[in-house]
Amino acid sequence: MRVIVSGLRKTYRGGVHALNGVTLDIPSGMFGLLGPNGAGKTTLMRILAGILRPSGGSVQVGAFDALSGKGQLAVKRLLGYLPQELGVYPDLSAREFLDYIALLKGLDDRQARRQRVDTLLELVALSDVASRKLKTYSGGMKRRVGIAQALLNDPQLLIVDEPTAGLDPEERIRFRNLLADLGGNRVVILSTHIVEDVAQTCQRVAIMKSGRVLFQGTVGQLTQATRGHVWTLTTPHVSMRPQGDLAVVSTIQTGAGAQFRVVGDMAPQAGARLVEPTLEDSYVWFMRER
Amino acid sequence: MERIWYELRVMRLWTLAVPVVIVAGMTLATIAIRLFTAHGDHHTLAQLMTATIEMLLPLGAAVVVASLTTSDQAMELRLTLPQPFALTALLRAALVIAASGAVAIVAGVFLYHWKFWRIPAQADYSGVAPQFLELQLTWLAPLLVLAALGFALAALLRNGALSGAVVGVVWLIESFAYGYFVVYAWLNPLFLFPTTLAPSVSFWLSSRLELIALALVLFLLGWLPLRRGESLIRSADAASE
Ligand SMILES: Nc1ncnc2c1ncn2[C@@H]1O[C@H](COP(=O)(O)OP(=O)(O)O)[C@@H](O)[C@H]1O
Ligand SMILES: [Mg+2]
Repeated sequence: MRVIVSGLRKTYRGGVHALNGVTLDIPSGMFGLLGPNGAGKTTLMRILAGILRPSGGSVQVGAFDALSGKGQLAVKRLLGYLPQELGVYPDLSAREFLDYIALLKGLDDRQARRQRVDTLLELVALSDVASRKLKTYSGGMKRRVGIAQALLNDPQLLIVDEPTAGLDPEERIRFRNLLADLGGNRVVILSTHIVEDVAQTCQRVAIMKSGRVLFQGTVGQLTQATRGHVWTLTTPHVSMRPQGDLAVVSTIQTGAGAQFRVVGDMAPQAGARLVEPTLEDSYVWFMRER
Repeated sequence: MERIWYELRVMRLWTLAVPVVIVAGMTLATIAIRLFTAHGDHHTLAQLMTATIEMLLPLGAAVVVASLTTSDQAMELRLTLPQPFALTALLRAALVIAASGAVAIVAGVFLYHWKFWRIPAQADYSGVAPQFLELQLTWLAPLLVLAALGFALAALLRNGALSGAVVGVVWLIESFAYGYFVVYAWLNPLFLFPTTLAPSVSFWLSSRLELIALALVLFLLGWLPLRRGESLIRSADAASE
């Protein structure tokens, strides 16, 4: 399974250029799509899911041209999708909701469907509360129902849009662990503006900003590309902030002085030391470029 | 069957109660008029009860259909499923129509039996079974047309409340300016409520059939924009903001 997006453009009515020629090659496994709000992540994912029509470019999902009518239907059959804002039917229980969606996904055999639903409820640790109405669920529980729903048809292409946004740390870690196990043979595209999500779960990553792809490759290549641009800088007083074309990633007070972690191009100077980049440093490095 | 049960749950079961409430309310009102006012002559009461199934049930159904057609709590997810949402919207409209139709048939048996159904001139013959069958066109034609209008408007405007309001305006025009629909030949086929308002017209049967044909056209008109996910997702986005 492989998803190939090339030259994808999307201009909304009103003239917002949400995607300006996005080209991505996404092989099997976990793929992180990292970018700030408004980068175009949701737009890209909605095009992949067949909800929106692009203004230009092409999308190939496995053997299918995802933009042709026939290809779109084929893609929908092998797709699992968790929207950024998953609306649920408040009066259905989790079990009923999953059963209903399974029915809509074409799992017609009642026995098999029940079994699948129970397996997934088990997977997302909601078996105990599966008969409660969804309106009583917390945000994190709804998100887990959402991922269970996406997995009903054992999708070859799984798209999850900002699944950890708004979750408390415990729920976030639990959700990440859940996602990390889903890679394998399928393509999993995870969009997020949280670097840590990608660091914990993805082998490959793309960075998007303003409808463009600034980087794509493995997590290792990303930090590699940033090597030589990350420094720690110690100043004798905390008010002496580093000067120049630098982005400060973190500041640690040390008595009267301070140690800054900065990303940018800098001539070697007293008190400055090159350090190994983390994923977060790399993200900052790519974001500071136009 | 399971699918239908889930659709009803998702549509909220009270939507099915709308026609029951309309008929029960109007029946009570009619009884009250009979008992407590001087206007309780048979002609007036029959007109009220005929209006209930010819005019009010279709209006209620149309407003419910309009509100259901483009709104779904899980719209974004549904647009990624192989089954087109247009089909679901149509299924829901059919369920609403079926509920109103079932109530109309049950109420109609009593109205017919107790002679509270105004008999249009064209259907005034003896022969209980064929007459009762033909009379079902009384509610069927306006029910289908108004529901289809609600469906098509909601699909085109992507706004259930606005579409329901437009249906209401059409209903008011048909109710209070019905003289035009009787007098002008080109408006005859669009006369929604002749059984209540002008049962003597000579085009009762033909206009019922023409209205049913119009309803099919309107459903088709609504079906086409519903196939475009882009507009549905935009109204869902707007609703969640
Ligand atoms: N339906 C829409 N109509 C007009 N502009 C939109 C619409 N949806 C998104 N946008 C704009 O497109 C850009 C990309 O948005 P989005 O894809 O949601 O980004 P992200 O998911 O990365 O936050 C933003 O500037 C946003 O305001
Ligand atoms: Mg988004």
